[in-house]
Amino acid sequence: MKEMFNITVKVNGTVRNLDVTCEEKLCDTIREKLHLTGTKKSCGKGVCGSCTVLLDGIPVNSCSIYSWQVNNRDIVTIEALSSADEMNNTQKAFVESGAVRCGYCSPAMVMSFFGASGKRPEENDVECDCGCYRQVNL
Amino acid sequence: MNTVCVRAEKITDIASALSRHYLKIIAGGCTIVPITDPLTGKYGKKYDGFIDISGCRELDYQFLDGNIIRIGATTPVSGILNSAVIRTHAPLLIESCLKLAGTQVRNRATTGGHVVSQPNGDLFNALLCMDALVSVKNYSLHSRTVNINDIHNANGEPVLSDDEFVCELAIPIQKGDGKFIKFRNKSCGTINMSRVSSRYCIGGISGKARIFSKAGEVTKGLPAFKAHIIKMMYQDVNA
Repeated sequence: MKEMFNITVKVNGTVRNLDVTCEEKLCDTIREKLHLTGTKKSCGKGVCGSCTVLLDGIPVNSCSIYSWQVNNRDIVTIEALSSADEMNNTQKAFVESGAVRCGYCSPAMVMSFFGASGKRPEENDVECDCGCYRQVNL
Repeated sequence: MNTVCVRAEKITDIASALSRHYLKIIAGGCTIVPITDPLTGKYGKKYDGFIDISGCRELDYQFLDGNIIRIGATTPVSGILNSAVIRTHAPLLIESCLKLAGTQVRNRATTGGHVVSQPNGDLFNALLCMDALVSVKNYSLHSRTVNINDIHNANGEPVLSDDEFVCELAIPIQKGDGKFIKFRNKSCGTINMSRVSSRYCIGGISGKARIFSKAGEVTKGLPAFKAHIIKMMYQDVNA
């Protein structure tokens, strides 16, 4: 049996207490324990960016972080961006410009865009390695 | 034995933890976390646990010290991009960081971690071209300085011992102009090249990036297509 660590994280504004193993990745915790399945797991090695979440307001790959590393930190997932009947402005912009294909990595693109907004143009170069959409440059 | 997971906030925390346990050092975790399994030893050494040094604020800085730019090891790549000092005095580093992976990785990847784990990395290439020095400490806080060219062996494996951690990079201010370019292709992989005055560095053709002075030095023995690409890159980096 693997040793468990208790962590406290603020996820989408709600403080949560979770037991995680030392090798549990943040994306697995988000999907399996918090059931926030908008965060997708694809390559699992920090390349594709499908698992993007905001950690203290900064876009990061949640497959490249152990869950115990985010103890006492703030996480925002795609679920926090919209209410049940209204999309966030970033999501609306994606829909209006047709920046969606199969949709699997769209939540990550939205999170990358959302996290990068307000920064200098040279830092805003958000890339996606989606097989259909070779690059999305914002 | 219980697994140890430590989040260090000070240099002394790192030294203390390393003196008591055999720990795998992680910071951004962009390379180590996804692909290795340090607790089972499946892909190499078996560790007692992890120490996360990304929260060590003492090592997150960039400043000018005479003719040397000093960058703390836990400075994220995005921190380099945001640094006015580096933008002014080492634009080559900015060029290389802009080519380094995507936004998410740049936000997490630390300078020290990149230097140790990416012997063909974009930022490593520029740092090697600028002849950076790497300061490391061990668990007893004994310091030593290693030239960045000697931080890996010929296979690209770091020469640091397991109880040593990178603290700082000291980079001489760039004299003359510089340029960084990167070429990505399925046939020849990723090749990066940087130039500062007449000093060139190429990465992606061997275990680690290397310094050269003329394109002919690095194209020997390579497939014709790859050699052609390198010659074209050499022209571009001089344009």
